[in-house]
Amino acid sequence: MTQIIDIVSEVLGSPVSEDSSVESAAGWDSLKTLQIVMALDEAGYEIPLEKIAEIRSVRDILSFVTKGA
Amino acid sequence: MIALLSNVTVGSLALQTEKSLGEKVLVLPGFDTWKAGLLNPKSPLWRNDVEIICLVLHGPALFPEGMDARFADVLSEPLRILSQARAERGNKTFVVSTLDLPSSPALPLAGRDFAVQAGAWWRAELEKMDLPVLDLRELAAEAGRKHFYSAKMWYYGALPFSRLGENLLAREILRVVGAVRGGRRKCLVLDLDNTLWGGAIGEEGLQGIELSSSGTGSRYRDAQRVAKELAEQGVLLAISSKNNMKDALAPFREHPHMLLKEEDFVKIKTNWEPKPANIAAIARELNIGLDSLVFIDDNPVEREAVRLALPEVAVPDFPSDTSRLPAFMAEVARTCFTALRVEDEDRGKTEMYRAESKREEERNVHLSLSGYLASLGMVLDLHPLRRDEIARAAQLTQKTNQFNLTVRRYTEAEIAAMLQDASVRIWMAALRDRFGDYGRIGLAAARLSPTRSAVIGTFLMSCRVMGRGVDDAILSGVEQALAGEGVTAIFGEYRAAARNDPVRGFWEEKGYAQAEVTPEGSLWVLRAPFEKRNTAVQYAVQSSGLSEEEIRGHIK
Repeated sequence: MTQIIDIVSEVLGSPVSEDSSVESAAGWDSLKTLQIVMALDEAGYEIPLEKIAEIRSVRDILSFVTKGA
Repeated sequence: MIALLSNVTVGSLALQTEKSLGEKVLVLPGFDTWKAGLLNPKSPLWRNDVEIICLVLHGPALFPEGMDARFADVLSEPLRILSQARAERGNKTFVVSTLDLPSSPALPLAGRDFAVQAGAWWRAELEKMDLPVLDLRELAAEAGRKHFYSAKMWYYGALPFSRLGENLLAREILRVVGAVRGGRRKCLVLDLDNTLWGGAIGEEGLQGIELSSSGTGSRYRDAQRVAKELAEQGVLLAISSKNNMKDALAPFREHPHMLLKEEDFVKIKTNWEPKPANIAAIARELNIGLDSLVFIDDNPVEREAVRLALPEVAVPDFPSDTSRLPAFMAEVARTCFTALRVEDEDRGKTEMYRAESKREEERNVHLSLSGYLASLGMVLDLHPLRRDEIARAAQLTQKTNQFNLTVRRYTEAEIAAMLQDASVRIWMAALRDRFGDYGRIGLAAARLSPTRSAVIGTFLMSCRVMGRGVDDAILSGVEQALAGEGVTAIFGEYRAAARNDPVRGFWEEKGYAQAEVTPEGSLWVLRAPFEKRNTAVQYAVQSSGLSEEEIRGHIK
């Protein structure tokens, strides 16, 4: 979980917590969501295509993520 | 500023590029708008601050209907748009990606593969246009498509690349931008033992060192090949090795599997002095800056010593696994020595530097400087810049640091624009002597004004020919040419820069009077009549190719 939060923080360029969301974190737009998914993918955490559009918060990411093969 | 165009979503790639480049990247709004952007005369691409336009194409997206034998029809349209844009916008540099096209899964084992043919056709067309290329296909091949692309991102956001793919592309863009802006280093300094061969020649002898054309010793031979290829593209090679000269040279002279030969090197320093001293001497003797050097040595202590003493020298880490040595050399070649394109002068460079050593010997025979200079039989060819010389002219402005009065750097596109400007004169100077051809070594540019005066805003010369009166010949030729156009006052500019202190007093030495002190330097003036200058260099003044009438049109 900390690794996922680290990845989100790195992409957004500032530290986030489990409670951070699209509304509360600065600069979190749809492009950043895309980059978060890409970065998670690279680290082996997969978010299904169907769920990407639903991401609104770090909590969403944590619940959608499945550890890839 | 660079602009990033594509037929797919590149917002994310632009962000990565901004991060690695450290500057803003322009992206056109909307999806797949690159063609419209290039065709639209009011496009933000044509803003003055955009210097490089980089087109990244996702191959498969160009063929939404799939690919067949008519691939050239599909690809001709983007090419036409590109070549038209380039013809109209001579002041921009266009960089275009290669196409990575996966073969059809339905491809029979024996049969024509249109994907492969289309990729090769595209690449050949870019070559015909002499366009700098961003080799996306090679990046994908190197990383593997499975890692380079992301199906998820493609289906979700029309973004074909994975994060790895984007990082590789961003790095490649950085490299291309560096090459366009002329950031290439000039000289590769190599250690010998355990760098060009395995083992220590001084201890193990000719038979004992590891070097062969196949088997384990061939890793050193493959590494040598990269250095050899760089030398052929104009990179200077030098040696810094703790050895005695006789041992060090034995492999070059006698080992059957040495690819590099003694004559591939412009400086060979084999002694027991500290390496930073040798490397500083190499830079000084070649008359190039320390920031033009790259040093490769397997010994971390030597590397650290050089890094500490000479921080401008690039010192890449040596691979701990020597099977990676050829790949490491290839990476150094890509990061430090990428050229936009290679001119004839680059190819013959090593030879020129070696001819220089022969001139040194001659100098020792002739006691007086003037006798020596006369003995060289120098002939200068000073002529108005031709269109086919634009690349070399830009290269000279970007690479010349010391004998450069104003250090104004120009891209090829900017030089082309200057050639179009009726009030600008540009001269190229080429020099040869009885020992060899130096190639095109000097450039001057002047702007005429209606008041019968001219300002020399660029005056530079390769440091290889400094101290021989060549500058007098070029200046005199320029003065005579300007006089021929009716100019009665010539202004010479000096702008101080990091390394051009040697020419601070240039205009004064040439008899110019100080006219003005500017924030960047100074302005000097010489008034008619302009005497021919005395020099050991034979030179002739060629006309600007304009008729009397045209000349009078400019100067009233």
